Amino acid sequence: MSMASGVFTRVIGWSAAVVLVPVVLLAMALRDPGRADFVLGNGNEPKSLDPAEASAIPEGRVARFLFEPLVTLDNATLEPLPGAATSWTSDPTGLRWTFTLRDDGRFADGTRVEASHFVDAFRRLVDPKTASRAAAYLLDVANARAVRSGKRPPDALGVAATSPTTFVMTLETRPADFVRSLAFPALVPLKIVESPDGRASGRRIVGNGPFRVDYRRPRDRIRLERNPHHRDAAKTPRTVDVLACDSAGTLLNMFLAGDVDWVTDVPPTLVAPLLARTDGALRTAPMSGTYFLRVNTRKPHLADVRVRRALDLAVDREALVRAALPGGESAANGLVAPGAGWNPRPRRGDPTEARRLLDAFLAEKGLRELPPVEYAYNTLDIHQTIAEVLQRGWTETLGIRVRLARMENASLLAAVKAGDFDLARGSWIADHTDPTTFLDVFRSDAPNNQTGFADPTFDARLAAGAALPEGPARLAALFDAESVLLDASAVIPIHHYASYNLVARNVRGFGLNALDIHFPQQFETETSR
Amino acid sequence: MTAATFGTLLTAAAAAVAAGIAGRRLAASRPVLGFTLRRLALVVPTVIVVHAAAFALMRATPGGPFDTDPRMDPVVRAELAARYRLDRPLLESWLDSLAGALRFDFGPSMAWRDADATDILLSGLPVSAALGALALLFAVLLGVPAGIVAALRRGSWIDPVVRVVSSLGLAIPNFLVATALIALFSFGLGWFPPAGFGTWKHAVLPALALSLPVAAALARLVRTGLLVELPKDHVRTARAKGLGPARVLFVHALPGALGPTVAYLGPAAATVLTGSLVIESMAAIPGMGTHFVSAAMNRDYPLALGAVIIYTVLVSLFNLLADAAHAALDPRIKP
Repeated sequence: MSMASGVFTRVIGWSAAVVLVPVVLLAMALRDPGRADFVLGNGNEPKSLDPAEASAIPEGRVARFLFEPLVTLDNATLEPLPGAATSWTSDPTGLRWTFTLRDDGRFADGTRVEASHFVDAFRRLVDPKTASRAAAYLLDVANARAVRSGKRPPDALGVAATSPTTFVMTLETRPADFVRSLAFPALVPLKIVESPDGRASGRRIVGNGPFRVDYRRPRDRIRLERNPHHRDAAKTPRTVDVLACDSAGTLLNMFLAGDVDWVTDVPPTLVAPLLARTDGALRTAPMSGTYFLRVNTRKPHLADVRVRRALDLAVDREALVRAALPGGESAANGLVAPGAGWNPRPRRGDPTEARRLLDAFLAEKGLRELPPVEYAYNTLDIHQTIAEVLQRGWTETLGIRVRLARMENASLLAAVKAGDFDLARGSWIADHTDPTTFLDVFRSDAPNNQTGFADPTFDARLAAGAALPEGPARLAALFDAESVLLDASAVIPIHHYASYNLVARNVRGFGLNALDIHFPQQFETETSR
Repeated sequence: MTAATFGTLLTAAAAAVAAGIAGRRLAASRPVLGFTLRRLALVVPTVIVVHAAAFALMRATPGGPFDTDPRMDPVVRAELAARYRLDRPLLESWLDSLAGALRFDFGPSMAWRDADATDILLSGLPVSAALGALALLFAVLLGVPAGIVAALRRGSWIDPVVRVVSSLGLAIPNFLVATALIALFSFGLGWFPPAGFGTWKHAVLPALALSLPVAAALARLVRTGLLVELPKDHVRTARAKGLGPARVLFVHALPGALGPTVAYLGPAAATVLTGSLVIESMAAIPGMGTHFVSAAMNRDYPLALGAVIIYTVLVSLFNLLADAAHAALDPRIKP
């Protein structure tokens, strides 16, 4: 009996341990933060909270909670609104701009925001040591290019604080849409508190936005609390959670369960049923972004414009958009997404002309058929579907054999950069509203061109158009430039994107715009659900 | 190569050799301690080999950590390459990275600029480990009894049912199981939240989804083990002595039958405890499972290598534990 009880004691002891270990581990790992007043499902974990590194969309969204640029934009109309500055004026040349900062601008630590903070922040962005991509937004400032290339020190940059509330910018050339471009999330004042041990994990950044960081758990959430020193503190939610979750399906589940108030993407297959719901939670709008194919003009047969044109004309964009895309997207009639004053003529597919061009090329070269062409795209269901539709179209219309090369994103980008492709998927999402954001990509010297397309006519027309002041003449000139690019078919536009936001019913002031940017100060949230 | 790198490599080699020699010396007098030391000494060369293979694979894959952003200009790329020491010769990078791994300091993450790879992994590991431990508990509670019942009731309807269900458990992908669980328990019954991590309720569904394939494997292993063990002489003798069925099963048959189960549980525990990409992504759980894939996709070399090294060390440790448990269960196995 004693042996038996010994055995059973041991069994019970082990079982207790087996049960206790997970329970204790779980108790240690769980930290219940409670539901925040407002919860944003933000996609990927932000790379950094440093606005200098706010290079992608999730970083920009967080930055708009933590920082306030000189100018903000109206969520509905994208018209400039006062931000850290209450007013701004330029001299008659349009090259010297004076911004008057608000008297009550405060950092999250309660200290005053002064013009010198903008001077320091802008110098830091352009300083090559900061390695900030956002320097691109300041390249028109006097001496910016020299500072950027290390020829001049950062304090040579054309920015100055003439009084604590007066910030002056001197430009070399006047960029399109200058005031609006100052709303970019990196162009903000900040204070950096380095950690004593110099490790990246301990660095803290203090901003001037409506919120400040309470704590951050990697891959889980950034818990924000209201910045009590901000002028809007009385009306902003007390706490905000920015969730790092990149699964659109998961965020949809959490939204439907009431755990999230704003989701910035939905699974494509669920767009139609969500739009059919009567609560209007899914808000969609055309976006200033284009899905296109790069054609490698350095490849033997693709070097001939007739082959590229044939591939381009064989695409039935309307049918593709209907068949493969969830709903808000539109067929691309050009590279530049349609917007104010930019209304391209419909570019329909023309299978007969496509066939004729290809036949002429084959006859001239004495070929019976075109050697197989490879189309490379990155791993995502929607790209796969589009690739299959394109493949079928080219095979049926032109009799071309098309190999589909599906690869993971970094590999695709490396292949495109190395020029090791025939046709490759590409896209461009506008970060401001001017057509040059798209057209600049395909200048002969632009690093993202990657097609081998280099046409002095295009470069010249683009430069001439970009130099004109905003207005119909400028748009017409840029339209001319785009037609050179499109006629060369080095880039084959497919469709323009749409934004899909799920927003809780109690959020007002969200706005819908072509850049899909939303300043949280303008949200009005009735008490949380 | 810096002095710190050289020092770390030397210390690690010395520690491994010392542990190996001590283990050999103690083999006679303190067999368990000697065995443990010899196995621990092997962890260092294992880490070096795995690190070399992972490093070579990462660097051979096209595309670097700063090549995915099309808007980044060459000035920025060059500065970042210098900051993260990607402009160094490959051999030097490898030795620095290896020394860092041996010190358990994998360096700053290249994708998440606000954090060091070690901190990111160590913030995820407890979450994955807790969830994994709960999943292992569920798996043992579901799988072991199912295997026992199937073996004892061989020939009745229970046995084929257990076999079919466990085959399904092994075959159905995790994300389908998780989707079904969310549909039933979150949106159908409203018992548990569909995703997130904060309260114990958040842990139940993902742990259950994680546990099912392990439970299925356990059921099959326990069943097979028992079917081999039950007809053996010592079990028949125990029964003939008039011992009750529970004692025969738990004291005489099961310890011998659990050999394959324990051998399986070692590496399985390491896998489950380090998290699952699919489940963590579906349930929005801040564990470390996602890093195995996302770090490789982002070409975040420090983070990817850190995840691989942590996994390697855990597999070594759990294999050691499994071998020790095996020895405890089977008196014929000497450590």
